Amino acid sequence: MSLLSVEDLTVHFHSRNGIIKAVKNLSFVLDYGETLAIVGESGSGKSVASYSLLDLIPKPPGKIEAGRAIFNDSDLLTLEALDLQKIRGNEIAIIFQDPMSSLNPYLTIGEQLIEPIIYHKKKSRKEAKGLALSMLTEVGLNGPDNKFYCFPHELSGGMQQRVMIAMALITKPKLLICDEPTTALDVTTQAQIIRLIQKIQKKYKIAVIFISHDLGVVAGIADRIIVMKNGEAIETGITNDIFYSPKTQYTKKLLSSIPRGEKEEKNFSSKKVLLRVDNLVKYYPANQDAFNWQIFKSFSEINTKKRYVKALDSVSFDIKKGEIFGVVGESGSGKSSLGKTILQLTSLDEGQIYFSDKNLLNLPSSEKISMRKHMQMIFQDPYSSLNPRMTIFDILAEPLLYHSLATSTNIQKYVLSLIDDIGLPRISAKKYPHEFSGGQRQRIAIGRAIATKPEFIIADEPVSALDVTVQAQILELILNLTEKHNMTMMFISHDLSVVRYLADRIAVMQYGKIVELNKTCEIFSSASEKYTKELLGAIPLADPKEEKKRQNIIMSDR
Amino acid sequence: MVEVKEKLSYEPKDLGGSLWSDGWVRLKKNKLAITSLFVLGFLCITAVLTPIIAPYGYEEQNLLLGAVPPSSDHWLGTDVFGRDMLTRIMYGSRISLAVGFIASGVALCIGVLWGSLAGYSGGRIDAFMMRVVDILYALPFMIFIILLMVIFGRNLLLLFLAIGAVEWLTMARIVRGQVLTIKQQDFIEAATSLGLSHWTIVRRHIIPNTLSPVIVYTTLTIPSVMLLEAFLSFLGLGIQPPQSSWGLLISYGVETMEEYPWLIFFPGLFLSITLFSLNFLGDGLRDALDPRASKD
Repeated sequence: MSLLSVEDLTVHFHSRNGIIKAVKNLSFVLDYGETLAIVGESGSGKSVASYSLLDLIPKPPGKIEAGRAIFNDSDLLTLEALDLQKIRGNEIAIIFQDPMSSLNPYLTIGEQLIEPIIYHKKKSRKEAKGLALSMLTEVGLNGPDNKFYCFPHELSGGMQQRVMIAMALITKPKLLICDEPTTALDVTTQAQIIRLIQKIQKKYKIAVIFISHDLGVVAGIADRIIVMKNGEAIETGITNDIFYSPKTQYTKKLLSSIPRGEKEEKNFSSKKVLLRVDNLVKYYPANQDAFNWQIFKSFSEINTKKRYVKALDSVSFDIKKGEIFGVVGESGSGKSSLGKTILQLTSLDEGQIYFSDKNLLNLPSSEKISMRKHMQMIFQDPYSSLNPRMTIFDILAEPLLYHSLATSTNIQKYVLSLIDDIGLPRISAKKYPHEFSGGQRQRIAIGRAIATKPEFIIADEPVSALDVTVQAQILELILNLTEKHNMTMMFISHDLSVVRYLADRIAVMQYGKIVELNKTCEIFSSASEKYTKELLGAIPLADPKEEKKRQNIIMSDR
Repeated sequence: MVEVKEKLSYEPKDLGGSLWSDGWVRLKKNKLAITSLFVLGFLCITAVLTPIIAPYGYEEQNLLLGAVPPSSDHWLGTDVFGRDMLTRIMYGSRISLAVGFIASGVALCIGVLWGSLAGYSGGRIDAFMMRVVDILYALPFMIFIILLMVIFGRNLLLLFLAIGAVEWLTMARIVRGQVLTIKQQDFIEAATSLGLSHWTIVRRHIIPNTLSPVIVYTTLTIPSVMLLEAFLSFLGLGIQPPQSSWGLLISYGVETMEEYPWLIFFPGLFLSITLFSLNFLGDGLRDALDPRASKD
């Protein structure tokens, strides 16, 4: 007897523009203690399918058209709302993608943790608190007594996700649905969270439905995999079969879009240095506590205690012409600050930046503007990097017109050739950013960055907000364009496998310092720093056998 | 530099235009908004032409006639002095519409500029500019106006300015709040890294994105300004009889509401029509200028 059996689940969304078939005849069976991964691109219906089991989709426009979902002898899809409430969060728990937005910012962690126990298990507050504390210890939070009284914003993303897991597990559910639980997290944190889910699953014999867009992530954790596309399960099988003998074209495409391999080694020793940064230092004032009890001490004491965080700590390197320079680190390592200080989007406390032998910091202001057209940036979030009230034409025309690289008579020609370059249909010029998908928007942002034919581009995590397949296309585009226009690039990412794929040299950053800087192949073959090794060990391997092997090593290490 | 600015204002014709021309195309499809636009246009034209087309003079009294209900001679009736209501409403519309549009326009311009500059600059400039707003907020409005009247004498233009000078404060706050969130978005940094000047960024990237709340707030400001004028006039600080405005007509109408209901009904009707039109037009504009609103 299986734990959950879903038959012919069909979910439609009725919108003004017609019916969207989000899930079509999805069937699967889940056994006790088993892990099922549902993999697909955004819009493939993977989240809708699992949310509709718990009646968590918006109705209307959503409607479950057909199907059954037998869980503990009852059909989840026909249960009364009140009966379902007893199952939801109690026997079936769910972990969402973004821990920051799924925790209530106005309640302490503890308050949110004990809520389900008091509601579902009818325990007293005191008992609930004891249970919550033991659960916090279980998910690996240090000092659970303090954390209990913390508010969500006082914890890091990884810690928040641990709290979410504790919250999901506190009622001892039989089934845990994880909806992209690690997508918003750093690579090292991702590895820790996945290991935590595995550990807890083994301990409590919980079945897990793991939803992800990234086949690489699920390789080590899933027993079976469903690959979804456009609402349909197009391939189902045990993990090894999916990875080693995929049957459908689409699965093969998904597998091939995981960035693999290294860039060929090139020799840059004869090339000129394009950008040199020297001993960059940047401070940020440290986060003060929301309410600082020291206020009641003497004021002078507080002034002397004003603390700063070093976002950049004596960073020096140079980039040769034509090189792709990778910068890797976790969030908070200062890698984005580095990009922004080089472009002078934020100020700098110490150090010098030389670009083609000119010191950028004491240029006359007239030259500063013309310098801008030689250095451009591609931003992480394509949803906020385009002005929603400008057409694509205006967005792409702005840099050209502003720097007088085109005139009003020939601007059309320039913009259209840019649009061709970034691989969008020409009709896009008329449209507004919201009419495009994330990947297409990122193409537009790339188009804007290369419009002035800059010599140097800083790409700040340009693919981390995108699906794996789209990610591969965008990386391809970036590589082609840098080669075509002979551009130099600094590529910032938290994902070593992406950087490995396109960078010639890699700088690993931690706490504002470059801890290791070397050629890509050397970093991967013989990393010398402990932190680099940690980062390398956290990359999910898109190979179930290798991943299992590695996990065993890690387990035995402990 | 001048040359560059000229080029930026260039609108591509063939490739579908900018926000404004697209917005106009979309607004034209909104029947309610276009009807409202025509109604407002009609009211404005009659207001301008009033001295020529009004059936009676605005001070023409007929004490023998007194207050009569609507008839063929006096379409909207007369007031207690026998003055023709249609004429009075037409003359009143000159004051009311002028106060409504000019004072709101003043508030709109100062508020948007002040708010977006404060929000965009941030830091000390922002703190200073917003403290100025706070201080003006704290000034008792009535005392402020009375002071102005005492110093400069009673003057219609001064009334417009005084009202505008008070109404822009809220607008500045709204815009500043909006700008603070827009400033966080990457496209502002992208514009900076393109080397655009601060003023160009404010004009092209920030102000257009504050439009939705600004339009809504403006359509709310116009009626409140009209009523404010009535209030001031009622206290003797605004315009004086025999001049009239809608607000003033309404407040006199209230006194005799039971005996002569048409004295409040017709000015009220015109005010309501204006406000409805403004709201529909405002909603239409907001949707038309937001590319994300559905196109159909």
